[in-house]
Amino acid sequence: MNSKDCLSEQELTLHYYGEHDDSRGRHLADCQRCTQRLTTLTAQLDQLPKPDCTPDALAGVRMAARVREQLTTRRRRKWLPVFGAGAVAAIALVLTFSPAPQPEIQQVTLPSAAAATLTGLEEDMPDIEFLDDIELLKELDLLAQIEGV
Amino acid sequence: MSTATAAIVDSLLESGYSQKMTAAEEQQLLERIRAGDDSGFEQLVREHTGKVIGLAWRLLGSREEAEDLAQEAFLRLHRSLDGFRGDSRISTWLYRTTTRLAIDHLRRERIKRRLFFFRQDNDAPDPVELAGDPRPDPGSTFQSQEAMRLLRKSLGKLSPRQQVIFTLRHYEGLPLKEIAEHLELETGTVKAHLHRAVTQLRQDLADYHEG
Repeated sequence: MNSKDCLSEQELTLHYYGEHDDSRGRHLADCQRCTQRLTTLTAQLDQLPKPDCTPDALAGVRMAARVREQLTTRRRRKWLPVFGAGAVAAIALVLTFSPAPQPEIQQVTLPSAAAATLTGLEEDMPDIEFLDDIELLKELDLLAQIEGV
Repeated sequence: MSTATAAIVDSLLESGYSQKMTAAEEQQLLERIRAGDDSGFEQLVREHTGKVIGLAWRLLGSREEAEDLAQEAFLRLHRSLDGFRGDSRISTWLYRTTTRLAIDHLRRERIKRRLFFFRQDNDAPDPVELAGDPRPDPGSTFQSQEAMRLLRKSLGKLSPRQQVIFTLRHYEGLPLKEIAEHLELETGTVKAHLHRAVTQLRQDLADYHEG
């Protein structure tokens, strides 16, 4: 038999697993060389160790328990965002409808010069409403302290 | 379910620890689970654990990793239960999912191993050999243990896809066409992967066979 017609290594592998092309199988029947190659391959693959991968009898019970635990944990986690959102909404409602605390206004005794400045300002701009703003008043107070007057 | 896959699943069931469940019984069980019966799902898990762990164990070579993988497969099954309308069996779905999860797992392990090698000096021992299989050795003799060690080491050299294809064909007896369907590959690609795997194993185990 011409070696050009002989089975390739892949064809031999496929033949071992019964996945070969029938037409090539006919060649094998007539070719001593290919038959020998297949015999060698068969011996090697048949000798491969066969791992015993059979789980023990309680594996199913253990697995069911593991899966149940995981599902319970996931269910709890699933509700966490809902509880979290509820808590945030509750806090927001409380803050919205509770009376706002009145800002503390400290009585500051201004030095006489600062008092004079303020008095001057009031005289110059007696109707300025923004002076009612507590923050602005604090800043004016700070300015007076920086000036050291 | 295809005939070949059904035959394999049936044989696994018969050799495993559960009774065979008919398609009708399976549908009834699914209805119970969908209605909120958690014990029904546990029954389903117990029913399929043997074959899922067995398959994952053969694919990964480690019982502990196989159990983790099986757990993930069952959790995914739980999330997918609404999709089961009787056109496919749960065993088929689990078989396919376990196989795909195993390939993903082997890929991650391969990346980890590469990083490990990258950080070690040349004198560092082979991590494949250091990472001993935690399960009891399947063989009772030193020779079979040695053969298993060599097999695992050789399989570790293959790509994850080659490992899985070889295991599915050689140990699970799944036809190449079925493997191609499970892995969504061309049959020709599966044939090439199988051949590369066999070539690698023959090369690595030649000394063992000659000895």
